[in-house]
Amino acid sequence: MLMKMFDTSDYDRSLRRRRLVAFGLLAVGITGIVCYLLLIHDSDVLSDYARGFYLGAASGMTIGAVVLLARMQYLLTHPEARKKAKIQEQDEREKAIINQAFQFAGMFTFFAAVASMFVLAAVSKTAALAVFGVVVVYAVTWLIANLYLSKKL
Amino acid sequence: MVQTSCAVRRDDMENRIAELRKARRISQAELAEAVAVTRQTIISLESGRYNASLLLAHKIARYFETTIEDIFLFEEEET
Repeated sequence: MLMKMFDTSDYDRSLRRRRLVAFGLLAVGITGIVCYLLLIHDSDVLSDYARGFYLGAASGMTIGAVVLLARMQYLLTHPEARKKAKIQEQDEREKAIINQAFQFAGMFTFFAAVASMFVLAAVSKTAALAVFGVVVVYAVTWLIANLYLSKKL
Repeated sequence: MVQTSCAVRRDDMENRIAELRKARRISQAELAEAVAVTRQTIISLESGRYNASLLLAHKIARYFETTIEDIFLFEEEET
């Protein structure tokens, strides 16, 4: 689904899929806000921190969905803007920049996480284990992606 | 002391995009639109900061009605 959303071979269909996803996100966000107002707001089941997080997540999702929806609607109804957006998304240099930025960010985060484990091990064993878990997930994901791409390409 | 003859190869790619574009009197924006890339990509290609993919090279060559080899000059240099 996610791959199809960003498949620009049929850009109009891709935009319609994204608009559908935006509707879905909007529904989830609004449900979250309604639940917060009706069930969570005055309840003492959740801590203040958890309630704040709940409202923040629901509001963030709603705002994001509205922005995405507006953008998709605009592109679907304005051919010239759609053409520009398509070129921007398909541009190979843009893609190369994004890929290289991801590579750099991933590598930096990996080494920063490994370095932080040395500090965390002395302060909190739980935190060090959490970071170690993230590093392991990163390494395993990299390995799986590498194997998959080796067969695919 | 034995000196190994390990030559370091430096591969350079130059192109004639700017030259062909100016000869045809078209702007970077027009070329960008014709080959479906951003104007910034054309600027980077012309300045040699970015090397085009085979697909883009093919599109550019087709636009200028010539061959890829005629536009993209691949020079292998031994140092």
